[in-house]
Amino acid sequence: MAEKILEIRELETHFFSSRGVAKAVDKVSYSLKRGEILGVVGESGCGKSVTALSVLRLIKPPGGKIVGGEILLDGVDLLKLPEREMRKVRGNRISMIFQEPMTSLNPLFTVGDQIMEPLMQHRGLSKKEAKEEAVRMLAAVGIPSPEKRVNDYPNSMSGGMRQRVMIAMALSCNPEVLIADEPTTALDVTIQAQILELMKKMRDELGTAIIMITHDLGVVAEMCDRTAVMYCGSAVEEGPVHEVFKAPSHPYTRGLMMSIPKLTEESDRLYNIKGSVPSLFHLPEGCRFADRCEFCTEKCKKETPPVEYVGPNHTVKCHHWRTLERFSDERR
Amino acid sequence: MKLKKRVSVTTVFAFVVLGVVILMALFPQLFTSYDPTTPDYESVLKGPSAAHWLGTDEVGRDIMCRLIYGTRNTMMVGLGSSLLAALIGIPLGLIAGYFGGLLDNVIMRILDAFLSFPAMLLAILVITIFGNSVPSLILTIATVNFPRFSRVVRSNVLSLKDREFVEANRAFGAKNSYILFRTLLPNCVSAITVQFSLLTAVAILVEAGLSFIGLGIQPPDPAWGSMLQYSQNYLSQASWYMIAPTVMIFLVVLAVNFFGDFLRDLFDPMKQR
Amino acid sequence: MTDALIRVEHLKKYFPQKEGFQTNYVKAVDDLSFTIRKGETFGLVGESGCGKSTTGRLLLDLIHPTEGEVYFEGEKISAMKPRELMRLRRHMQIIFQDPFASLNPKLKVRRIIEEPLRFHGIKNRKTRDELVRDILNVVGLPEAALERYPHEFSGGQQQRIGIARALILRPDFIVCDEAVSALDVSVQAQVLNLLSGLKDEFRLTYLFISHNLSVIKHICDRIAVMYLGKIVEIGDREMIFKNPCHPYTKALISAIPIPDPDERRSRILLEGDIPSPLNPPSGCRFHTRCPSCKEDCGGHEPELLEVEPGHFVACPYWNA
Repeated sequence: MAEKILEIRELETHFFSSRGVAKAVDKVSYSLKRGEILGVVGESGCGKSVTALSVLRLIKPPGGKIVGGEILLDGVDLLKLPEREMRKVRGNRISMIFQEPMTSLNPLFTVGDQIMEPLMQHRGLSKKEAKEEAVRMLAAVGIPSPEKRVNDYPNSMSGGMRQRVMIAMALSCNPEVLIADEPTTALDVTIQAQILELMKKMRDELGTAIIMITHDLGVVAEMCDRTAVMYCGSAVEEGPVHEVFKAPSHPYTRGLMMSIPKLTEESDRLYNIKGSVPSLFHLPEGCRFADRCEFCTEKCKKETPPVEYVGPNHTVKCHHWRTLERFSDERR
Repeated sequence: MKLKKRVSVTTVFAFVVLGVVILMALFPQLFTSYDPTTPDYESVLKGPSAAHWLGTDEVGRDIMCRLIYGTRNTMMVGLGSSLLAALIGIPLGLIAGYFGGLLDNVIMRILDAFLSFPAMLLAILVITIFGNSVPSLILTIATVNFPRFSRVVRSNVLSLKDREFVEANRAFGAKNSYILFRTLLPNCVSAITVQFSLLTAVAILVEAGLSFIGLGIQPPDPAWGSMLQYSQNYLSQASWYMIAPTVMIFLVVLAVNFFGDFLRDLFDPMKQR
Repeated sequence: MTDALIRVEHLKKYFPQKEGFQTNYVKAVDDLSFTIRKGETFGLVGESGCGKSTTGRLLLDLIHPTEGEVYFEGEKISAMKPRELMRLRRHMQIIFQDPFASLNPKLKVRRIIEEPLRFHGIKNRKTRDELVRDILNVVGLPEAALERYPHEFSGGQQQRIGIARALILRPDFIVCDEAVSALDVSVQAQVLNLLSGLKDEFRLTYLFISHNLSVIKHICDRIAVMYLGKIVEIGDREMIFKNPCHPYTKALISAIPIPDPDERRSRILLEGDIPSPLNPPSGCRFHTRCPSCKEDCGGHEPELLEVEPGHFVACPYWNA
């Protein structure tokens, strides 16, 4: 796989409120190669969705603001583009699908109208061409009898169908990057399996690079080539899925892996990470995970760990990753 | 209970306006030396001057004086009718919304009947029976308005009753009366206060309408609504006449509204931080 | 059979849906029979619309069945007088999915936890206070929590408050309705461990309702798999996971993403959507999506067959 299509460098997005400044995204860097699926995992409030919204510059002032960093799409910094140019990027070169297929489709328009809209706007198709294209897209995402369905309203469709429509919409302009924010969380397991399969198929056929935002480690293991783990607004580990899952270098990643009940293993008690996620308004000094970490030392509470390379494509932000490496060697 | 509240501008405004209004209602003589009912045909419809700050009306009475003396009647009708309407309307809304089914249908249809009943006709009826007085005005306006409370409360309850904390109440063995008044009612407070301030304004204006056909506060007794009503006849000769009652009604409605916000925040634990 | 705590016989719940002049019925729960033994954790698993939550509420008599009976320690719940039902409520409690939604936002934690005590006539303030403090300790919350409001807590802590409330009357039976589904992974582990610990400490019996098979497998002793209001398979945990017999169970298990990149399985991908429970398919309800559907599957409703002792499957072709 070749060059990087999207690169996020030291992105900082803050939210300002009467209670103070919440550093929702604090110096986050990760990158996406062409045709790759990157899984961004983390628990609620870790900033994984905010990062994605920042990429599309959909963070709304006055509450939220991107205060620093770069977002390079094929070498061009999106943060420096004027709003008019940015509009040409959204939905065209980078598009996004959301968790709730119910609320992200407009109930007053037919699904056909909603797929045709970006086609006419970005690709300059006529109404008739756009309709044909819409039918073709619906067929491609596996909706039965697309000629009829194209005239349906969203509320006559099931959740799984709506998510297929969202994918059709997102892919209609053949974007280089698709950001999928928890696309299967609201769906049932058997439907989730269908949608994941569909997304893989679309990636293989169209070569779209996908950022898969999810809290489900299973989804990452099955879908993704690489993964970035986020905690409290910071990307604590990034690397190939196989390396990160088999030999996690950050204690948080390790804790996450161990705390999920597994279908393939027996256990009486689950490992649990002690304590709870700190508030973004009162982040601890030094490493943010220090209070909950079993490897924590004095150094962790004072110094923010720098980015270190575990392997050529594998980075981690932890003072003690070498200790962890020994651990996982022993486990093997 | 520790109350850490940052007093907002709107709260201060509400307290100041309502404080002054209450003082005016209780001790009008403190604010003016004129008599509200004695005509003075020497100075009819005079504009604002040093002697009459807000001018005089069609029979030469001081407008500011009438405004101050009118406070008591106006506020009694406005707040009294809203209180009475709330007292009747809220329980009905709670019951209709929570129990649903046939009971809900019966209650709501009866309320619809009340809503569709013309206020004037009702006023004539009540006043013929009980005579023309402030209490009968309160009764009339409350009768017309209480279904609005019921509707607001009912729609709130409909969305609340399937929430899990209400179901939890039932699962843990709570009695219906507990669920209605201890769980559902406090969660309707913000909607109720909004409705309350709105209906207070409506009541002041309805009183104005009633005095127009001679069923409201009887002249020469002053009330804001009737002043507003009469001032319309002299719009071209004395345009300032209507400003004072309008501003007062506006300020009071706004203050009641802000006071409602204050109450809502007081009862809302999420706002206390 | 060992001691049954709950016995369910031919339980049905139809919700009427009026459309114009016609009344259709959503068959949320359609003819369920099973028992929950004392001291076990019984799992109900299935996708949305399968009736698992309705079943939980039927067992607690929060809604009344259209047909069929629920027995608690051999006593018919439907035949109970209000006073007896009130007594029964002390023994059966529920923990909800959304911890925040299940706590009244206007009340302090102290009041929330002690509410059940008030409902059941424990008037002495000091007794109540002691019980509340005890239970708070058990679920691992600090005493300072008492004077605060639910929204000041994280999801995991809110769920602990919900658990404390469910435990304060020292019940025998708790329905956990998707009790950990709304929680983050690391918090989910804490709550699951807490629930298992409490089970031993208070000799509880759980009905654990979830759509998450991994969680069900972790915590349950026996499991029933539901599809559109029916039980399609029921048996001990090992039976269900080592030897799933119903095609739906097999598909469900294979559909779960496994957090292990080395684990490459052949996945059974089901076609189409879950049909609406308003017009469920005739015969076997799964036949419209079943990968091994036979011609007569739409014709007659399959009975539960015992494929090994204690393992029942509603598919005549289970070993085909």
